[in-house]
Order: sequence, then C-alpha cells, then structure tokens
Amino acid sequence: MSNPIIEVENLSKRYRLGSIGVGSFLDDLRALGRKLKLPCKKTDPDKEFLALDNVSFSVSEGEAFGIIGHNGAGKSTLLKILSRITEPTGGQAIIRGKVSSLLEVGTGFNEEMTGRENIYLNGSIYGLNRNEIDEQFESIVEFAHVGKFIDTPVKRYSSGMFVRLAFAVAAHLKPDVLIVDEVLAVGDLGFQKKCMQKMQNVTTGGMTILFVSHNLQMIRQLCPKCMLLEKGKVISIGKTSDILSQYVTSKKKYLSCLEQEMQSERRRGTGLARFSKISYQNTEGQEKTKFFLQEPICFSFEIVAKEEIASLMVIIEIKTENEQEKIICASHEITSRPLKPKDRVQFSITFDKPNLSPGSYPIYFWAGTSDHFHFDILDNLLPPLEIGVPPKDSGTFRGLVQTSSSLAIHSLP
Amino acid sequence: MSQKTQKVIIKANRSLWDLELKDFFKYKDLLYLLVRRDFVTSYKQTILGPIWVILQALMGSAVFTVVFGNIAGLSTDGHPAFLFYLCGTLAWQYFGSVFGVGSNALQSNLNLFAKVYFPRLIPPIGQAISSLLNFLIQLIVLFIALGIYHSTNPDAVVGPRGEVLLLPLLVFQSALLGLGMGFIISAASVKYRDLGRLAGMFTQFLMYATPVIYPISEIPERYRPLLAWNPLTFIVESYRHLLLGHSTASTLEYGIPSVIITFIIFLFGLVLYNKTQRSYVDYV
Repeated sequence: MSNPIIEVENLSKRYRLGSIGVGSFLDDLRALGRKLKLPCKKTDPDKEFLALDNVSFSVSEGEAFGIIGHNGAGKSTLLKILSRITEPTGGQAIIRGKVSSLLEVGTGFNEEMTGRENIYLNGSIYGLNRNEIDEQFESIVEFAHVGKFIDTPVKRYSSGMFVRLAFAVAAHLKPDVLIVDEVLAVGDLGFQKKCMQKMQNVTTGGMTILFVSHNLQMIRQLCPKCMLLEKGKVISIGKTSDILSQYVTSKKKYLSCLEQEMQSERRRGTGLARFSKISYQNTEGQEKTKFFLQEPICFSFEIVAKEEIASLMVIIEIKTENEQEKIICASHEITSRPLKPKDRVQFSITFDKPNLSPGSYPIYFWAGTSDHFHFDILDNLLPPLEIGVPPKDSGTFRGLVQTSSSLAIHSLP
Repeated sequence: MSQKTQKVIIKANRSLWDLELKDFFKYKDLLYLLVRRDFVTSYKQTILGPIWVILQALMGSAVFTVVFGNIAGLSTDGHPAFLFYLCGTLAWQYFGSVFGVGSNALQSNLNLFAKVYFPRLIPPIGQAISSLLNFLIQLIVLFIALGIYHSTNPDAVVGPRGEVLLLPLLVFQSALLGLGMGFIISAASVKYRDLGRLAGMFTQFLMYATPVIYPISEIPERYRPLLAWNPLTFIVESYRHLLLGHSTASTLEYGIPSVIITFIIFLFGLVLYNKTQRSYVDYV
C-alpha cells in the first residue's frame, strides 16, 4: 500500500489557562528570560492544559474517518490544527494532498453580494480558481436550489436558502481531503439527507473525509473506521461499530464524563442554577446507563442555585437517535418558591413504562423557570440512554415505541 | 488517482522565514475577487458615492490652508498653499489608510481566519490595493485643482513634469511602509490590546513628525538629519517634487535611508505577522 494520505505523529497542543493580562504577561516575560538562559521560574503547570496529548493516527486515501469523543476531548482542536488554523505545540502532521475544511457553513459570505458573486468569493476562499468554479457553477446552483435568486444579494435570502447555497459551494470543492465538523447539523432533514448522500458519493469518488460529529447515526452511516478521543488522548481506533459501542456503553467512561460535564462551566444556559448531579437509576437505586425493555427508568437530580431564582422547572426530552425528533418530553415544576444562592434541590423523575424500542436515545435536560427563562441546558452532553433486549426475549422490534395491542377480528371470509 | 499536487506538513516551531508565499500565488484569484468586491461595494448605499472622498480632501486642505497657512503663517515652500496641503494630504492619506488596514489585519479578519485557511496576507494586501481607488480619485482632484490654478495664473511654474512617471514607485513604497508598520501593530496587539490603543496616538504623532503640513525647508538645517530617519519625510516631500515641481527632501540623502528603513520595517512586519497568524486564534 502507498503512503497514508494523512499521517499524524505525536501531535500535541498545550493551552494556557486563565485570562490574559498582567499575570500572563509576567509568564511570557519569564519564558523569554528562560530562552535567554536567565534564571527564571517555570510556568506553573497547573495553569496549562493539554488539549491534545501525543495523538497519532493515519488515514489512507479514499477513507471516511470519523472522530468521536465527549465535549472537551480535543476533537475541534485536532481539526483546527489539521485545517492550519492554529499550530500544534508538538509533533507533526503530514497531509499529502489538497485540504478543504468545513468548520462552519457560510464562512466568508458577504451579505451585500449576490449569490453568484458569493459562489465565486467563497469558492476562492476555499482555494478554487476561477476556471474550477466556472465548471462547477451550474451544479452548485442546482444543488442549492436557489434558481432565479442567484443574482439577488444574499442578505435577502431566507436562512434556508443561505445555508443551502453555502453548503452547495462547500460540497463542490474538489479537495483530496475534506475535513468536516458538525456542519451538517444545519438545514432541514431533506437537505441533510442530500448532504449525507453527497458526502458518501465523494468518498466513493476517492476523496478522503475526516468527520467529527455528535450524531452517532451519521458517523455510522458515513465512516467505516473511527477514532475515540478522550481528554486529548487517543483511546482507540478501529471499526466504527466497535468504537461506538465502546464509546456509548462503558460505564466508567460514562461516570468520568458525567463528572467532567457537571463541572464544566462552559455549558449553555444563563447559569443562575446548574445541574450538579444527574444519574440514571433503576428502581433499586442502582446507577446504570443500559436498561432493559420496559424497565422503569429513574432520573435522579441535584440542582444548585448560583443566584437567587424565582422558581424552578425541569424538562427531560428523550430524542430519536439522530436528535431530530422528541419522543418523550416530560416537564415538571419543582418549586414555585424562590431559591437562595447555594440552595440545593434533590429530586427524581421516573418513567414507569418508557415503552421505548431497543436502541440508543440522546437525552436533553433543561432547567429554568416556568416562563421558559433557562438556567442550564445539557444538550446531549450526557451519554445517551441505552435500551437493550432482555436475554430471554428475542423478537424484532419495529417502530420507536412498543405498546401492547390486542387483536379483535370482526369478520374473516 | 492522479499524482497529488501538494503536500502539507503541519508542525510546531516552523522557521520564521516560512512565509507561505507559494500558497499566496495559488490564491491570486481570491486576491482579485476581494479587490473587486471592495471596488464594487465601497460606494453602495451612498447617494454621493465617491464625492465624499473628494469633499474630504477639499475640506481638509481648505482647513489646513486657513489654519496653518493663513493664521499660523507657515511657509508652503513657494507652492500655492491650497495645492501644497492637497498634495500633502494625498500622500499622507494613502499611507494612513494602508497603515490602518495593516494594523487591524488579524483583528478584523478573525471570523474568517478562525474558520478557514488561506494565506493570511491576502486580505490586507487586497485592501491596500483597493485603497488605491480613493487615492486615484484624490489624485484626479489634485490635477483638476492644478488645472484651475493654471488657468487663473498662466505664468505659474507649479505642476508635474516628466518625473511624475515615478509616482507608482512612491505609492508602492508608501504601501510597503504602511503594511509593514501596520503588521507590527496588528501582531503585537493580538495578545495585549494596549498596543492597538497606542497606534492611534502614534499615527497622529507621526503626521506632525512628517512634513505634511509644513515643508522640510522650514526646519532648521541641523535638525534635518533627524527627520531623514523618518522614511515618510522622503515620501511626502517626493510627492510634492513629482506633482508640484520641487521640494527639498526628495534627494538621495533622504531617499536612501528612507528606502532602506522601509524595507527593514516591511520585512520585520511581514515575518512578525506571519509568525503571529499561525496560532493567534488561540489568544483572541
């Protein structure tokens, strides 16, 4: 076999924590001093953070390679380095071919310019020359479905048209390596499907894809091989189905991830109150992530108020695997009385008969007031709920929901 | 599969001289499109369009004529005061706008630079080129003003001669100097924004340290070598030499240090800018 098209060796990226100001200036001065061989104190290692720690892997030509990992695992940092947006602090990566990266859809679009002008501008930002864009122009317009609006400034486009046009340009780039980060989470379902199809087509055409997504369904569909990252380290690389099950079911990982997410201050919401503990339990109070069909599921919570809040409501949404639809949405008002800072509230919400078919279900937790002012949102940050088949029971399960039904025949010839 | 056209090596601590120039030429279509975009969109949604540029130049020169020429009574080196200031502003404003572009290059393009790779030199160089549009409009205003002056004073000797063909070189030098100085400011203020604030003050100071509103012949002989260290002295005085006919500091004595310093500043700015852009998105 020839050389792999992407070869990453011991790639590391170190960030300095904390804000930039007088303190970091002193650190910089000390670093400069050490370079000049002056006796200067070393930077406190607690203030540093390894976003990527000796990451090595290789991808061969024409492969679609998925990267998964919990938030903060280093996926985005890795893609940023491979897209040449930032530099590593150690190690190296070799990419043998032309790279295009889609870290965002619509980068560099100019509102004042028409669709046509934007196709040219955006295409050339991604490194196409004019002839290449000329050749692709018709099929970009067709793919984006903007038709007669092509000579209208894009500021008058609907947001759907805008996204379609932006993705259409991106999808018609002809790089050797395409790096994609979550960008498919935009647009309506039909368009997403079209995009997935396009991506599948390009890999059969010999293009190599590096794909990061939280949407495990998409990873499964697109990438035969993937890599699991955690805290900047490679945990495993292999066949997607093996890696996914490792990612999803390992309870140890679930716990460490849960702890990490619970401490993370970067998550969404206003932060007036935060979930401080969430666990999935069975009726005996045992923590687990995998439940059998029809087994009652109990979510146990602790919420801490950081500021004074007027009331507290919690919503749990159980979603389909591609996160498009809600299957179950349960909302409960916890209290209508105000809470003081540092007040802790503990409660649990139980689904006696979840009726869900076997599978894995992303969950969304929301805390806020009853008038929908949100404090904290855990949007698929926690591991999905796993529903399994009890050992003795082996039927085929169709549909998302299993309810018992009875048959009554009224006439039969 | 066809032979791969390029090989990218991404690693830590690349050489300072790795300026990614090969990529720069690969993206020349982007440069062209950005310049064209600036040309097309610069006067969109204005009623008077380029007239604003003309008004700005005329008003500025008129104020200078009244304040520095008539009230303060500064010499204008034997040139008609209005033309003298018009020519000074022309020279200064192109430098100033390129300097402004350079000193914001990393900051104003953050959204783009944080999402997609392309040579980071393209946007500022593109803007330096599109700033020529305003420069050309002002140049035409100056020529019209010269024409009017001649028609009312037929014996006047003021005006360009054949040497005016050297003007593009002078414009090029002011672009290099503006970009170089701008790059230094932009790179240095990525992490600590204090320097960005200094840049505004510095520009003002620099304008008064440059013979824009006064001719160098007004400066006592013994201080002039000091002003020769300011590369803009030669540039602004040479604009006057080329466009109005004569000036003092357009000689080699000023020209050689000016060109050398310009190149040093540009090179230093270029290297610093390039080094900074490699990972600056981590800091802003």
